[in-house]
Amino acid sequence: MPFLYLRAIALIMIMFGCGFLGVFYSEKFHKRVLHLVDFQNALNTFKFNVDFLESPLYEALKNIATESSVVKKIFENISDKLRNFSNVRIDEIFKEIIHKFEEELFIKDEDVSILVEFSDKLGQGNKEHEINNINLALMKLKLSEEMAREEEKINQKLYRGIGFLVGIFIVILLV
Amino acid sequence: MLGIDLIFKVAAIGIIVAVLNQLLVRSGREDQAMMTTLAGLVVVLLMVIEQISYLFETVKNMFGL
Repeated sequence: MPFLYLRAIALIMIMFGCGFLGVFYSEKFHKRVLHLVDFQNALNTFKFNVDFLESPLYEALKNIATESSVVKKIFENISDKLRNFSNVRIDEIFKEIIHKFEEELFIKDEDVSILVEFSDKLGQGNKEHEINNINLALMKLKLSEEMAREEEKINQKLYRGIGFLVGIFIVILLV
Repeated sequence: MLGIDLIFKVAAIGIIVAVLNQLLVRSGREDQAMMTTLAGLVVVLLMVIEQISYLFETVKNMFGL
């Protein structure tokens, strides 16, 4: 009799474990949207710093405050690196820092390329050029966010469903 | 008793594969839906292959072949 209970508990654990895996996997689509929104907020703050406060690049990057700690950490790291090493290219720093936080970030390669492209043109022109560059990056991020939202709508339900169904499938095979 | 269990198992797998198939088709992954259906079919075939072999054996014995 205890063996039966143990077996039932193990089967329930397998089922919910698979379901949880599905939910966990589906969360990455939601997190991608959140991170894209955070990057847009960060760039808006950056735009304000450049346009109205006219702060230097490292200070403008340092002042970026967003809800997500990862995005904030990225910009803080970039700012620190810029202040400490004046002879390095900013796009290289962007690439390096984004690569460093790769595991915490849920954005795709195409989103990273938008940010790297933005950083490539950063600090190379006057204020107007900088604002245009930020606006362009914001526009691209907005488009990316819309696509990410559509992807989230489709994939979130799918992965949750697949997780639980695969769990039930395994349970049926084991019974 | 075993036969009935097997039938229920196959039915349950059929239902799950059908739901998975619908989920995948609705999210535009027809290829994966096809693969899932095939995987379900293979699993069910593996489950019933012993019974099929038993059936052939019985038929052979019945006709003395």
